[in-house]
Amino acid sequence: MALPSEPLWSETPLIRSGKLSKSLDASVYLKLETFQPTQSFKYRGISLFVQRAREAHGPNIHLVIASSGNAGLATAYIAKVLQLKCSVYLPEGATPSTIEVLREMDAEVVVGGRVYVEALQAVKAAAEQDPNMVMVPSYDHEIIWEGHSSLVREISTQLPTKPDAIFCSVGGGGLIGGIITGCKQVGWDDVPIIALETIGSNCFFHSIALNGSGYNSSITKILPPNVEAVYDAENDVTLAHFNKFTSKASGSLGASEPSVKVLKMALERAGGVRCASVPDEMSMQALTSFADDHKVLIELAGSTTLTPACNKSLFDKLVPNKTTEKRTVVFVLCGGFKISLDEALEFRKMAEEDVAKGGSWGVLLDDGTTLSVEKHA
Amino acid sequence: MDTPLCDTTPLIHSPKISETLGVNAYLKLETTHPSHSFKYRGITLFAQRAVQTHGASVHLIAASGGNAGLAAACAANALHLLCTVYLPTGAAQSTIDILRRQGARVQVVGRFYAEALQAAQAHVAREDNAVMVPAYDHETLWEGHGSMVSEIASQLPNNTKPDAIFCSVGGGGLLGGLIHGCAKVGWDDVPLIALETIGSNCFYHSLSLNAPRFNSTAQVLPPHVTLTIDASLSLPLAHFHQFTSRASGSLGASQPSAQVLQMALSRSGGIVSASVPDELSMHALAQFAVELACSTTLTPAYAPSLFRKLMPPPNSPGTKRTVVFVVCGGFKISLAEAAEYGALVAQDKAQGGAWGVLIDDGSTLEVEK
Repeated sequence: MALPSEPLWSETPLIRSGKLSKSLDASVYLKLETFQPTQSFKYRGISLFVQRAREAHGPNIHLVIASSGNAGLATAYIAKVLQLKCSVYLPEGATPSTIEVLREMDAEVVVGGRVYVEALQAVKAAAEQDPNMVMVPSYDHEIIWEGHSSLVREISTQLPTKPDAIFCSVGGGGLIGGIITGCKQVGWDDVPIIALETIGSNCFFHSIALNGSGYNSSITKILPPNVEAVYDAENDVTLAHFNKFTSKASGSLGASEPSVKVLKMALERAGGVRCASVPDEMSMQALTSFADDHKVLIELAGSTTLTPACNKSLFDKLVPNKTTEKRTVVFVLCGGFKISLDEALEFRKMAEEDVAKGGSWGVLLDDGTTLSVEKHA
Repeated sequence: MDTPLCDTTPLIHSPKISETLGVNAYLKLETTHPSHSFKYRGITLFAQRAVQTHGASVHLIAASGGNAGLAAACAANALHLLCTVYLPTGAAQSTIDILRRQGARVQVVGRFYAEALQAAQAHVAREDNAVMVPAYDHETLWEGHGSMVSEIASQLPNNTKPDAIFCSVGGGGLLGGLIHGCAKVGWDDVPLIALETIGSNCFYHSLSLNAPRFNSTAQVLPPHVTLTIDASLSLPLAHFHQFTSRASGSLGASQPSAQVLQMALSRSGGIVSASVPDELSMHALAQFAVELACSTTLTPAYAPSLFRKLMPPPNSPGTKRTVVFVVCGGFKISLAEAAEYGALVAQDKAQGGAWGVLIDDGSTLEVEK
């Protein structure tokens, strides 16, 4: 079989949102990664990694990956395209629908381990036994970031100007690693990147705060329950390690700790990385508004990116209006298969119930303060 | 100034549908246009040509409660033109809001669409700069929509020619575009399969009235549908006086474009037509959230027996066929409506039995619920 030498991922649309541009008084663009073959940006980096592995080691390699879903699906699909064996290791708690989606893609599915990290250990153990096995990283590898970086190159050709900010969600840091890498390639190292997570699944937010001039970098560290600070001597950074997740988005965003290298890249880049953590209900509301306005269903992990788009006070706080010129921003909508109409309706109900209670949502900002965002329908 | 205003839309491979149907199934996603539907293609081309002919002060007029109106408003916005959309009273506030958000003026007048159309035509008659934007029956629209096919041709891997292209039909604008576009890339022989919903299926009935099709002699039509002859082309058409399908909000054309019907009848790849009950379309919608008009295209993707019935027999056994479903898009869907449809389908399924799909040989295919 002739090996494809070109990238196997798809160039995705960058659309201008009339609705959001008007409500935020900015030029708002959305990078729609949901149109990748496996419905998420992960196909970029993972297909590149697997293509290279196939070139280097031949057709008998057996791909193995630890994943909570989307990385596993990306691997299973590229395995099918290149006719390779594939096994996906999922932690316990993986939903039957996730298992089914992977099996339909002809991947072997192995369920085990309390959290992702334990599934990863199982993958490493298996790979040690079998010389044909190639471990596919979910998010923590240079080739993964290299593949993901293509989305920034695309944006730079699709957008008429340099953006004032790029928004994304963060789980383990694969996507932001790709965005940072891509920004460097196109001369956008000074473009601010704004990383969104949900409270209760925000290891990146807490990790950033623990380092450099972060609000939590002094000797006395204040961390939520079930989160501890871990110092990585080799890289001289402190990470926030989550022992438990309390966010519904943790199904996709739940990394125990971020990639060390990505954390370092984020701390060192010229444009910086701003962080904010939102309550689940804010993300649920963004999901359903987005579905109604743009006719696209996205995962909770992805809608988290859009929370500033739905709440002007948060948006203005994260992207201060420095000049009279209209701000141009890009929201990278990561995609993901873990959403259905039923779930979207359930989330809408939960968000509505929460809004009915009144009061405001507390958004954690990276200066240690909490922004009160008035709840609205 | 004919450089297209539209961006290329994604053609995605659907592993799930491919698996279900045993083919290579691709979806052409027209939802990413600023107006959420394929109509943006033909209507922006029309608007661009209107500027060339009448200058930058041209005023686009549309009579449409739906996607054509929104496409006109978005096109006007992109080209910095004036636009006024005429809607009948009873048009949803959300539709009015979405049009105004694009900067269009909205005139709500008339009891139903025909009266709103009359008001729009009166406006065009009295204002020099005003130009009527056609909803579906114009060559420029088909030329614009046809760009979709050139894209598909370059997006399918290995220069594959599809074994069939599926689409929905309202007035026939999309179909006209596909026929036009196919001819342009040497795909005149690619079968086109046109889906509608029963109760809003003027194309199905019009086709059946034309020899040698099943209804050309008997000419039996459902209640509220009458025979009319298009004088210039001498073609019999089915004219609907009333719609009984929920998809009629977007698919409800009283009669199809006679010229598109003519093009469909004369192309070498032919035209296959089928009409599905609303509930089957809603069933497809529950799997793939789009407008009801649009999910109608996908009914064969979620009902393999229907797919097999509509597809021409395979050229050589063993080779996997390639099909493209044109996901036409449309703004008339929300989570709440999707939930409503989900409930309606569930109720319908609980009644048991089968869905009756009208096939263009006059037979009815029973599709198990």
